[in-house]
Amino acid sequence: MTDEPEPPDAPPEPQPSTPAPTREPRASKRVAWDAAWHRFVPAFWLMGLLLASNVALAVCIRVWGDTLVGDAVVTALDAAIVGAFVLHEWPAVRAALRVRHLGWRDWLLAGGALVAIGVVVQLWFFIGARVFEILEVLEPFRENGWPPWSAVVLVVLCPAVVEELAFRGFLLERLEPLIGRRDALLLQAALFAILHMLPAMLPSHFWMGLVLGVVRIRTGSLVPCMCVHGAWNLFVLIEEGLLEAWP
Amino acid sequence: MSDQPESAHPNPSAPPNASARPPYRPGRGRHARAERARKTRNAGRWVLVIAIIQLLFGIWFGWKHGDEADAALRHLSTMEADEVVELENGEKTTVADLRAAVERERLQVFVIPIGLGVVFFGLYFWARSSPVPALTTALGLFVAVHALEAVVEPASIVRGIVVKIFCVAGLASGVRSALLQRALDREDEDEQESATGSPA
Repeated sequence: MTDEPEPPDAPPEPQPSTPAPTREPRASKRVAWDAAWHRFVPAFWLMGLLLASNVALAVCIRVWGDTLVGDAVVTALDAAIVGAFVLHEWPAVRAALRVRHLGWRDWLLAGGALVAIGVVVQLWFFIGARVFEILEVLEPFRENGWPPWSAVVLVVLCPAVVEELAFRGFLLERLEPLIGRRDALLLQAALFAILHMLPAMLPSHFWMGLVLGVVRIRTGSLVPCMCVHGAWNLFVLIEEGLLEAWP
Repeated sequence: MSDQPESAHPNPSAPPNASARPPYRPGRGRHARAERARKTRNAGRWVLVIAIIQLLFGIWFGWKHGDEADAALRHLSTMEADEVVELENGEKTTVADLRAAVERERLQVFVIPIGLGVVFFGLYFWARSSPVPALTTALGLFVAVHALEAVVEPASIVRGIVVKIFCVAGLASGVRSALLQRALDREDEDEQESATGSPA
């Protein structure tokens, strides 16, 4: 029955004028095996450079104590590094910055992710406080007399944008065609945790990276991830007394 | 030999039935695959070695530091809790806070290396099913831990430097081999799929 040839005057299949937005277009991407390493190397470089900048910050802190100037310089350096790599992958990252296709379900998912991060991270720090000294993020800003908005810029906005572009943007885009979705998700979360360079933060930030990665894949956009990441960091600042008057 | 006309085959050095063989594709042969599998396995073993070293180090260091912490706590127990003492770096703190810090540090020197050892053990087992992410994570974690250690104590950079270099080289080589093998396997699956018309 299928051998019957199509009549020559059969109307052609209607082609949509604009392709329908697809949520998961990357699964079909495949990389030739001998090109796989060349596609993987930039991910190595990005991770190495971010790690190097964090080591530089740790050296600054060791030499000069809690230095907000060093923190600001390293944040700017990280932004420059990530910006350069993102430009390399710009078409894919630009597509991931779209918000028009997002519906209420996506934002509901982002809200759920925020709750999931909050519950697990708070629980971890509650347990971890017996072993680790929990660092106060806001304390250096108070001590040095920096205004509250500088804390919002350096702790909320910059990390939310830069880290999401680096991990859920560049790394996930690069790794997924090479090693598959599940492994790419796990790997970017592990690298996200490692980059924070504090053993106490490994489990909590691995969980955070995993949840944000799921949000990125399910919504197809980086913007909800940035919002969740920023909201969580803002919550931490508020918990430490951001809204109280500066002395 | 000279009886064979040169125009009989486009490549005179090739055997007459060369066209019947599949085209030569470097890196896809049995030996290349075996070599990559060996490097990936070796990298997994490096992760196991790191895990064992971390665990042994954690137990030894925790036990050694425990004695020092006990001595410090015994000394502090002779002082009043609200008494203010000056530390070596010039900071002032109360005896109660200092006791809490010593207790916390005693747990930290035990928990951190053992926790890292457990993580590396987990990565070793993960590397058996998914070598690329597991070995990459192990490499990143190893470099980050030693970088942080070097910041805290610069003299530690040269301690065991040969082993560290071998670990990093072995892990990086394992990541590359595992990645190439995985990409090649997927390409083979695709070829098989397109040849048979059904998923492999």
